[in-house]
Amino acid sequence: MINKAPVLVGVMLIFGMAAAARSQTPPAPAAIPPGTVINPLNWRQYKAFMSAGLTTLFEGSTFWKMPKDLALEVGPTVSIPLPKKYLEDTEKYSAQVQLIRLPTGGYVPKGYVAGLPFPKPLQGDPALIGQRIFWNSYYRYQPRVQHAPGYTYTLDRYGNMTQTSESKSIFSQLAFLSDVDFPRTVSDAGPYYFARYTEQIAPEQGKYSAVLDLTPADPTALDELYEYVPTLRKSLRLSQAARCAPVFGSDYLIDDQNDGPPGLPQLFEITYLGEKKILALEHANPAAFQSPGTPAQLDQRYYYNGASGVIPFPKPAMGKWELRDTYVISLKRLPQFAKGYCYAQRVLYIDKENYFGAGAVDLYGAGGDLYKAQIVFLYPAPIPGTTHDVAELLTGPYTGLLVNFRNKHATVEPNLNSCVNAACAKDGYLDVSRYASPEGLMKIVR
Amino acid sequence: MVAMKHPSGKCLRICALALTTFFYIAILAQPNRALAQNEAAGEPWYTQWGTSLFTGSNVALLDVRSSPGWISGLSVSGYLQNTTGMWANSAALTDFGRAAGEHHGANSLSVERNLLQLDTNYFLNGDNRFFLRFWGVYEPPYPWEEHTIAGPTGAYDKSQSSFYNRYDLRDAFWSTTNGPLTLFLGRQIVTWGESIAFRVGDVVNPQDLSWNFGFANLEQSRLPLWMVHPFLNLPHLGPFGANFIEGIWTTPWQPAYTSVDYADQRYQGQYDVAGAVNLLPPGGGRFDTYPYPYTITAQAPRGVQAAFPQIRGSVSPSQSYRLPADTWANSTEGFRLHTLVENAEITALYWHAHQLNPTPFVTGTSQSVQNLQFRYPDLNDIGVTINRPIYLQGDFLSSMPFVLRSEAVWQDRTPFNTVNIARPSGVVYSSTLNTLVALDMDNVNAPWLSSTGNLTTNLEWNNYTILSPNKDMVYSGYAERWRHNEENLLFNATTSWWWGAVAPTAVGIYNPDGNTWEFFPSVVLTPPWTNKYLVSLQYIGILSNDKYSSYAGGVFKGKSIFLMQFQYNFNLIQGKS
Repeated sequence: MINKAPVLVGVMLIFGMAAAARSQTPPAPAAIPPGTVINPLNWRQYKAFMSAGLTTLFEGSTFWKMPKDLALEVGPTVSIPLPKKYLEDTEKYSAQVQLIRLPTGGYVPKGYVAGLPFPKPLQGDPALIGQRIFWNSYYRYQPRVQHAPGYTYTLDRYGNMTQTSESKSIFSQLAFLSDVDFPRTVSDAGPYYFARYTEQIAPEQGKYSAVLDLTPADPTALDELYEYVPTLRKSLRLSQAARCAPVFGSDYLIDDQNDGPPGLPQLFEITYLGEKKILALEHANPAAFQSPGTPAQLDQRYYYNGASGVIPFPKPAMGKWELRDTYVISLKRLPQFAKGYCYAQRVLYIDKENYFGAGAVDLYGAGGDLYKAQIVFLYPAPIPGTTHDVAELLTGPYTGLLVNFRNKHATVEPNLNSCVNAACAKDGYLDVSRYASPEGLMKIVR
Repeated sequence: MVAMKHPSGKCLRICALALTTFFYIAILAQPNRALAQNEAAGEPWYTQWGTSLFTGSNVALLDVRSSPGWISGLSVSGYLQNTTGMWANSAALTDFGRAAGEHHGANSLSVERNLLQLDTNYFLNGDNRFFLRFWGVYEPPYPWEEHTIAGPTGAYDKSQSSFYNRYDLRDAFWSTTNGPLTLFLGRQIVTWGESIAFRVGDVVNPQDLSWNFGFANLEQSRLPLWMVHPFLNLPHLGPFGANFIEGIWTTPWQPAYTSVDYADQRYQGQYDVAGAVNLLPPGGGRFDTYPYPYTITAQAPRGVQAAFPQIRGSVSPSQSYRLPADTWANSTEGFRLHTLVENAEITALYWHAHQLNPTPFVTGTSQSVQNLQFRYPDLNDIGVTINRPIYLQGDFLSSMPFVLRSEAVWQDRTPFNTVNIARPSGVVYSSTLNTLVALDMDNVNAPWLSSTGNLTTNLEWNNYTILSPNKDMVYSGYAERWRHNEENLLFNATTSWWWGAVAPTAVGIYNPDGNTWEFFPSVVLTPPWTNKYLVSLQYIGILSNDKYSSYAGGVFKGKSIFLMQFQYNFNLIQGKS
């Protein structure tokens, strides 16, 4: 009887080596040379530079896939520095900021005045690196006021892509300001850090409806929320306690509305996962933000069409992607607050240069599945009254794409070119009583 | 009645003017027609616009935002809306009001209302804006009402072929801001108070109740008033923030020329002030209440109480309306203070005006002719409102978005009819207290109900207390006595599925008087491929054991309706806003 064992071992070795060779991908390059074009055939070479959401879209292993003829051009990385005044304030005030542990187990900064609270986040207690990066992102530079027309498109599993609403947003920073020509705190604005005013322009059944979201200067407090309801001709007081409730008609939840950081950060365990270069479209073509697109698609000069299972994604005309250095942090609700929360984990890729945290966001469900992913495409807007300062705005030339893998749905929110600070004065957007106070809601259709 | 003459001709003239204006603007804006959204697709604008008519969204026909000059601030949009309704049980309605002389047919058509709403916004600059809202309404003659409308003598023998039609400016105002002062000048609707369904602090504007049930259609039934309406910011004061004072002065002159052509000619000669009070349905009309058959004692069977026992004769009294005249004394005015303290939004209001609903007064003496005259006595309201979110502790409760709302309004001198024959006018006065406590749950995350929407509920408890101990007060025109504590309980729940495509709402108001229920559930269906048009289906049901229950709504008993509403939006011109 022939002993077959050596033969079997040999065969297994041969197959094993072959399988190993098949699964081997080329070693990840340290960077992507400018001029590289990434497409559905070669994307795996650059997987190391992608967020989980972008990777999943390229893989096509879920309902949503990239357009077949996708071409993603990579250009050189262009600096997006923080504004000069903000950096001066960072230097001036950051030394007095410290993280305070709350009885809940979470942390909040104490002594914050302006600028970055923690300019060297990797220094200090290693266990709190994630916290320091998060709070830098929370207080990243935003101008005193910014305004942009915004649109919402939704895409369902049957390929219905519709411009569901048009609105105008006026966002006001009311405290901790680092803007030339503006005081540190806006007088008569109350105890608030930030105000988000959004008024619907279309469709007609929702016209004039408006939401005012006032974020208290105390980060542990819930936002105060007011809504003007045209059919009642008055505003209603709302509560933000239900953090996981969907925003009507979209894939965003209440806790997603801050484009990255969730509300009540003191309820989260924030972990630093390391550094990563990721592909981002942060110098998009400004011309792409002149119009949102057609009634049933984004602007086809700049975006591939959305269809059933196919995500609307930027075309090369939208601009060149670049590699951005990011800190990767993970946010999980502390165990005592985790029950019933919408996500098991939120992974933020926070830009190391300017702490913009919304470029890519991965949102995981309770089962560890990738529930949603957000990717944004934008360009930094110039800040009036400064020489070369720019900022990545919350509402401005900015398109947010939120892909809902679980429910096979997607929301795209293109915002157009905006006005910032003094440029908004002629339209009255600096008026706190109109755009950053409940009083303003009483002046709509009155 | 000038405006009643040649209504179709007037409408044509208005339409022609509107069309001419539109095309003028189109030509003016042509070189700057942004239509960027259209160009973006690389298709001709007219192709895209044609597509958008049926499947698209809200792209404006003309986008003038980037046009030079004054035109860039002009926006014109609106909708066409058809509402078709059927009586749930038209056969039973043939007897509705028969005892009082109404004789309705069994025709099932209850509503066929066609509405064009046209909004014109003009943005001059950040401090100056104009707003105009035009309403054009056409409703056909209703067979159910044929020959059943009360005429000048109170007999039910008239019809109202064009009563419900209207073509007028609804809102029309200019707002201007100068420092801390913002002034709104023109025809406006101002809603104070906290309730979403009951009128407690909502004391300013009258309602047009002639074509709908006000309880199911509060907003569209409001009648704007010509007014001067300033807001003045006040500085922070200690813990009090977001302080301002709001004033209102309405002119006594409040003309209404459409929807006031009653067959009984009640407003004859008073059209200049007809807009200052609630417009009630014509006697015997579709939305009229169940009439009490025994107005005077001579008509009532032995032992049955008449509504106006003060009237001793045997002839039915004639009815006339004395509206608040066009004199300075009849202007109305008030103010409201607003503050925010400890997360609670608080307002306090004062309002001096006249009643919006008429009270019938017996005129004449038993030795002469006695009639009924409907009057609107003066009043003073003092009120306070408060709301605040309630945050609770614990795993479950901390995620419950509760909001508490409350309001109370005291009125000094509310007129009530009385069956006390010692009161020759048939009217007594009492101060009243109208209060509301409400608990909301806003946007509850309810994955067991909807994974793409949320759940919002509102619970409101309204109490209306008559502070006088008088036991002879009766509902106007009825012999049923007022309860000194009238209670209403509202429950509202709404959710949505498929990202808002299906949005059902369940609403009910309960009043213990006669176990009266007013149900008005609805579902709004918006196609996933567009929100340019939508359909709403609604049932309005009134169940009651007391058909003379005026306050609870039992007087509408039997008038349950199925409604279907189709709305088509259009966006003609998009300017800066």
